[in-house]
Amino acid sequence: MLFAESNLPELVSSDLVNLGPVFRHFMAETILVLTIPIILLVDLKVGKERRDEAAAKIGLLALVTAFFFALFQPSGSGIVVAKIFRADGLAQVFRVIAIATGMVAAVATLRTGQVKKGRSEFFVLLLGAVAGACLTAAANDLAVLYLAVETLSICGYLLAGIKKEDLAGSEAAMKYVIFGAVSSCFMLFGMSLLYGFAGTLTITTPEGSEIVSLASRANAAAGSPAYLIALIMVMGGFAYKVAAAPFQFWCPDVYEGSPTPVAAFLAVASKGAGFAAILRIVGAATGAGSVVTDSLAVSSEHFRLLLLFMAVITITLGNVAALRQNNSKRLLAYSAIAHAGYLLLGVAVTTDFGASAVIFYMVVYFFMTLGAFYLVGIVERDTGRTDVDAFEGLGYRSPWLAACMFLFLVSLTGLPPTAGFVGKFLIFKEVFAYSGEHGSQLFFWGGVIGLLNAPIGLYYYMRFAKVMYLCDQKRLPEGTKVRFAGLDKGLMYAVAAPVLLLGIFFGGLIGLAQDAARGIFQ
Amino acid sequence: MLLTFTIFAPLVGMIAVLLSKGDAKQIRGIGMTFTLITAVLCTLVAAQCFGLGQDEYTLVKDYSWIHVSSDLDIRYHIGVDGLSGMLIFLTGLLAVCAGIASLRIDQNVKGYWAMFLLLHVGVLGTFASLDMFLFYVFWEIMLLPMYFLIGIWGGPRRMYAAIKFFLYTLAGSILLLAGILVVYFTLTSDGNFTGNALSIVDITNYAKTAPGGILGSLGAMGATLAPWIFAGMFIAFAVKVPVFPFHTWLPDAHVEAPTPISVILAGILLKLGAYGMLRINFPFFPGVFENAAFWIGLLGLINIVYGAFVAMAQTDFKKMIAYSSVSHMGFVLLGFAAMTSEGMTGAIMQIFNHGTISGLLFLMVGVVYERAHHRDLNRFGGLMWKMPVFGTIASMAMFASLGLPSLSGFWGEMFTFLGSYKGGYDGAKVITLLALIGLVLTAVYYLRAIQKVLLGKLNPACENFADISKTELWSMLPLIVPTIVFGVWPGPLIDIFAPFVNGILAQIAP
Amino acid sequence: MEQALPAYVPWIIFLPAIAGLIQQFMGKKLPRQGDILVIGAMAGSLALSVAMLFGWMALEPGQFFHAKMTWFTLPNGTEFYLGIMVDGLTAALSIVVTLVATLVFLFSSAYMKGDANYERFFFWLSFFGVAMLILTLADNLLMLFIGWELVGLCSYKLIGFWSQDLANAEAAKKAFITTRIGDVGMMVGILILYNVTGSLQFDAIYAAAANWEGSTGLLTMAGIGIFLGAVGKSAQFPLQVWLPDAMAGPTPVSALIHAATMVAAGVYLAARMFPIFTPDALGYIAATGAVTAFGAAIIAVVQTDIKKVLAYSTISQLGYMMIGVGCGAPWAGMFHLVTHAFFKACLFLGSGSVIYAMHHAQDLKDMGGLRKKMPITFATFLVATFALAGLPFMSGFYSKDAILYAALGDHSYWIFGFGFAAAFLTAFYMTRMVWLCFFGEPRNQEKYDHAKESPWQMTLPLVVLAVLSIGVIYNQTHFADTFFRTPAYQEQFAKTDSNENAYWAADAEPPAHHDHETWFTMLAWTLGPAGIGLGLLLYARGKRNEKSRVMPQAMQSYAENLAYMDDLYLGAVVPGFDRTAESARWTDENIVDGLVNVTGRGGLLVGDISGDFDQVVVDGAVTLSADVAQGAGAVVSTAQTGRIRNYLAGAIGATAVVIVGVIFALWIL
Repeated sequence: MLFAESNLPELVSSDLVNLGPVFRHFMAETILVLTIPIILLVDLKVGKERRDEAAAKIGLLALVTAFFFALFQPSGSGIVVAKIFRADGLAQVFRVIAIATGMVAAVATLRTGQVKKGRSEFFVLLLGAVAGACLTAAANDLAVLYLAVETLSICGYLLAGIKKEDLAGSEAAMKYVIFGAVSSCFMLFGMSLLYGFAGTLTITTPEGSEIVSLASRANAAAGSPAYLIALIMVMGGFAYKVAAAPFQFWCPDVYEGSPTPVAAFLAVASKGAGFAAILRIVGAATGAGSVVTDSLAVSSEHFRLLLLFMAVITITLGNVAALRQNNSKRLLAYSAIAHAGYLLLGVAVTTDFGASAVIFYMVVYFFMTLGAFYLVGIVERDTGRTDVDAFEGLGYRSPWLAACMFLFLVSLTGLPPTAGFVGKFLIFKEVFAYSGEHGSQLFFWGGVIGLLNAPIGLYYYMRFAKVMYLCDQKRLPEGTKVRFAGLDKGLMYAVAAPVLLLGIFFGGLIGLAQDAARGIFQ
Repeated sequence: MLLTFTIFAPLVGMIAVLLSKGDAKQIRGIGMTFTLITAVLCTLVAAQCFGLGQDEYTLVKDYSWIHVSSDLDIRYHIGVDGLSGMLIFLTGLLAVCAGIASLRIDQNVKGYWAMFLLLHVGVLGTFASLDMFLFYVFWEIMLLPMYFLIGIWGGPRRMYAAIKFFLYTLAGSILLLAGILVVYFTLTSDGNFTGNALSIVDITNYAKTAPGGILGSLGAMGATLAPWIFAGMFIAFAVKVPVFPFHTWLPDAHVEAPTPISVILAGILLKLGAYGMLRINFPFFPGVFENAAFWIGLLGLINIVYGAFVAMAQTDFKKMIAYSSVSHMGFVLLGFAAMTSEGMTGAIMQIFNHGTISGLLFLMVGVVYERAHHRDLNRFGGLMWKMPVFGTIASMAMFASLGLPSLSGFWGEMFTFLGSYKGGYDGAKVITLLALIGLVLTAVYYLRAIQKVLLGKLNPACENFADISKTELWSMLPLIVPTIVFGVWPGPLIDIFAPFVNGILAQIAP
Repeated sequence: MEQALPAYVPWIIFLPAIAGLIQQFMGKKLPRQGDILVIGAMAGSLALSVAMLFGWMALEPGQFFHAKMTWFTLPNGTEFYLGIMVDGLTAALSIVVTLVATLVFLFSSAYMKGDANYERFFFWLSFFGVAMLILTLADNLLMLFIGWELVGLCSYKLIGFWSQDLANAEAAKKAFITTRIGDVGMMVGILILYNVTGSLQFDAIYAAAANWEGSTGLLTMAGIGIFLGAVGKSAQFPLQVWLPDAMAGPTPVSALIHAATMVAAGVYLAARMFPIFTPDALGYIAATGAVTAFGAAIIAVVQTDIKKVLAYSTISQLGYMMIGVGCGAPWAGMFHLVTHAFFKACLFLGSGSVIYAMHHAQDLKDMGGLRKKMPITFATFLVATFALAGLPFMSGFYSKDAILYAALGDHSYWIFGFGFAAAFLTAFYMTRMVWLCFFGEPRNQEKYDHAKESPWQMTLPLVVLAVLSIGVIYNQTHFADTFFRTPAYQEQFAKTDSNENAYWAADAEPPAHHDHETWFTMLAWTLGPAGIGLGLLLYARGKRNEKSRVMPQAMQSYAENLAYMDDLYLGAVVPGFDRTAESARWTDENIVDGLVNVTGRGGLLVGDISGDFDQVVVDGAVTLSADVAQGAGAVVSTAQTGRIRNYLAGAIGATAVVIVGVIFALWIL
């Protein structure tokens, strides 16, 4: 099916020398995919008692190796693999993020004893999801993109409901499935429309190649209003995946219901993949790499404003709704929504700098959100609660854990000297720069509104700080000392350190992001 | 290097405190030592700031911090001129006093001193930064320790006060960030601008020459935008000053904060707002400032009179003094708006002297609170006879604050009035004359306080009050001395910031 | 013409300053708690002042001593100076200050003996001396203002010296705030003058006033503003209310600060700033003076507290001086200032002596017949009374005469009338008081029996001051001429002939006196005796006492209610301010802060709503697709059986195989 759709003959006739890269550029994915049957087979072979352990071992091993491969895989903006994948910086960065998220989520699951039985299933699904995420970031073909997204989503649904005994989990999974299904319909419909316009499924044309693609056909397509509709459809689909307004409803319930590490994975990996795809499609739809005609310029402008409104609404909705959440997972879910908004803001300016800002922000977001969820998981493990008050007096019960949490919170709020601030700084810099260069009042006020959300964010993030530190130390809840040691500690610091360091020495990451973003737009 | 050391000495201290395994006593020792080191360094820095030329900075260090491209070049650019030098000296001064007063904090000592020192990193950094990114970073760094210092070691309603302070100031500084960003992108895309788009110095110089101001290159949009940006930045700083109607966080924060923190809050943090206006807000938008002068003067008037009236109606000693701060910072605005040498001089003197005097006043309230465990003005009386030394210092502080000549408070008010009456905007005279009412109101509430607390029959509830201890006296001494010295001999104070005044006047009122 | 300042002059200020500092820090340890030190220092200043006086008199007419040093410089180069200028006004006033101060200090050393805070008292006395001398010697408005405020502080501290009793504290507060209101006016004047002059040096101001750029109205405003300062300090209408309460302070303080020097500083200010007064301003000054002089005199008639009588008398006399200034004869006002300083100080100290003898009873009802008990006090008191009543050949006679004649010469007849009536009343109420105090039968036998003459420290000052109240020692023609006709601004006036703003130019020479019309002379000579006569007529027969009504009902009640001024202030003004303050507080807490909190709560509310909204949508969607959920639920439930693993295995395995196969195929081809 995969090849049938994107007319096989062409592919076959394309020069064979470039086929080596299928492996060279997709080692990580290959490893992940190939590990899945291995786990299953092992699972069938070994005895019940050693089953889970073995699955965990293999799964982790696969993730770690995949991670290192992903780090060192050769990539370049020119490389197109079989015309359906691109192995450019964008794919690279988000692949690394996805796999890393998978690793942390896996470790977190094991450490916080979330999934006691059926670990093999868990790892199968996790690996599948990670692979899906990686491919989503790399896909350069609408059909492949759709398949990748679905792989990610379906694994996601099942992961959400992985704790079968847990009713809330099943319900969450249910909701996720339902909304996911709807979103897929949107996306598919939009894609088919786009195919109609472009006459090809290929999304982008890397500079120097002649491949016909949505990007190169955008000019022609832009004439008709339906083009915008198609884009809206696709964006709608991805809005679900990244939990952006007005399609963010499912997010809090699902995150709350599903096991914390899974929630973390959904919040980071699938959001990341979603944004990678969004960047590609938006890039193509605004005619990246080709001469922009007036009609396209107009539709692009409309599209930008659409994105801007989506972004501003998402930010505001997410922050405001988070104000009164008492469940830390729900709260983080809403914060995740808000951050989706900030990222969209970066997309909305449709410049390479904007894209680089998005990528930078995504990396930062990976650290702080993953850390926060992991931490919630740890607290949940030892107190059995996920409400905010479970953190009461944490600052005195296990100060270093609280310190990490506080660091994440400060970064999520976007205060210096943390990476979160730099991320916001870069995004809003681009927004204001755009408003300045194009004399767009809307973008200016959009930026201002976005900034003014910071205090709202501060309010609910600081509720953690409040219960952690400002509580009455005389009346601390007895006994419940949260354990914070060993792997937890190491991993937590590994996640927390960058949040601070990237807040002070962020030059390197910016450079990296700019390389990754080169050529996505114009 | 001196300046860098000064900024980060407290940070080293904070790390030392965090890592020390010692008991409360040792931690206090470490904390106090680093506070003293900082204070000494601050004094050295200030000593460098005499006799500078107009628009001249000293101890300048300018390293590249984050260099991505020519238009994203964030620099570690610090330096001081007379104004910041004076304020850094003030910071050191108050740090010592607050430090000594902090020795009696016994709950969670480690955390307290860590936050206390971190706070000073933020403050000193803000005073020294000449790069807007750096400025903003330090500016925000101040908020966190303040939040905890009020929130953990504060009074009964501390959580409310802390979050209110945090939200209020953050909401303000967000506007500042927006302003910084707009200025930044405008200048990076402005052909005529040949400097670093984040360097306060470069932008200030450019603002002199740029046609249509620093947003000139935006054309019409720049013209419409400039007032908004100016207003945004102004609000950002006005929240800190605080300017009516953004002042309501102040009484809460003050009432809940522990004594030493109130001292720093009133003594330094309020000054940061005024400093920001002088360093960024006004010099960047001289044109807009000229048009806004009337409104700024009006706000000053409101602060003075309204603040005094509200202070008059307080029964909580600390709240009264908090509102007196609101009232007195009004003089600063009044002086700024005037755009005259006298006005600027008065305003800046007020900045410094209010720092010392209000610090003294809060320490004084602290002394009373230590003994009575309440601050209700109506439940004291006759302390003068029970604690003569305290009584003398307290009444001195209050008379200094109500602007008695021969004490430093007088000069700020006197020159603010002299300058403001000469003010360069329409209605300056009327506003100034109305502001004179403040003189009487101030006298009224301070004399009432003196009468209720110090005079009259000794309130039996105060029978067993001891006169102030050596420690308390030492914590006040560093503030008493300048109050008297600069009251009798304001010369040195004026000399240190005179070049700055000439500079900024050349900038905003050519 | 400026002349170099003799080097010793600054020490007039330094001596008491040093004494004060020592007193502040080691007063308790000093022998006799340091009173000798303070008195000695002040005596030293007195000596120096005398030297300065003769030094100045040796100069040509119109010349004066002046020296200044830069105090500090504004960024724009404007310089402010510490300077001393000595002309007739200064020389005379500094003599008055130092002399009276020395005597009062001496008096206090006995009067305050054994007080708990004896050394504090002397510290503040000394401090007052310093402040007053700064005010006197200043060569610029800034220094004068500083001295001005500092004497206010001392007055506050000394009125409230016994503030264990809240009433005294109240009085002190009232004094400070009331004078501060006047100071606001003074600030207005200073602002206007500085704005035009760009300096606060007297000579600069005189010059600016001489050829004034601004409008006449502005100059008038400046003048009245400055004068309002004087109104506050010198307890002129409508700010006189504080002075009677100020009697709460120890009697020596009343003598020094609230009779002889500080309150007179207002007159000095008016005389010093005379060149800036436009005719309108002068008219206002004269009117104020007249109203005050007469109004206060009436009130004095009904007072029963010996010090209150003197207080109102002081107010009235200060009004007199203002009339002098207002009618273009500042020299006359200053002349009366000097004479008044001596005899009023004498009266106050005398009353102090009486009060001392009566063990701090100061109501006339406890007195009577004291002349036998305390002859010296009585004699000196009598002399001073004659001076105040303006009997011929007493000092008061000449100065009052000069003022009244100035009023006449100014053709402001109603003012003359008021002054005239006031002079008569003065003679009357003084007689009343003297009689009720020293003559007749003792009305409180028990106190009377304990009364005895005061020690020499108290009687000596009385004698000195009494002697100084005798008029012939002022050969007053030359006295006034010498000191007050040729102030430092004389030469400025020369320039101002062209200038119609400044009064002086209107007629460059003040009305020369002693060519009075005869009727005026007659009046002047009979005025005092008439008042005294009436007094004797009413009281000498012993039928009346301090309670008895001597005036028509209207006047009586006006007087007994202190001209209703206190009712006005305490009944309307003060509560008005308090209400304003209260409402301001309310606004701040409920509206300004309220808005903030409302915004916050609003945010939270919206948070609730949108949060719930999400919930509703999600759950709604779920229930809507109930059957879908059913189906999916089936899937999940089967998954629970675990067979799902096998399905998955099959599916994924197959896909994997396919993928691998295809890739392999491609690889081969």
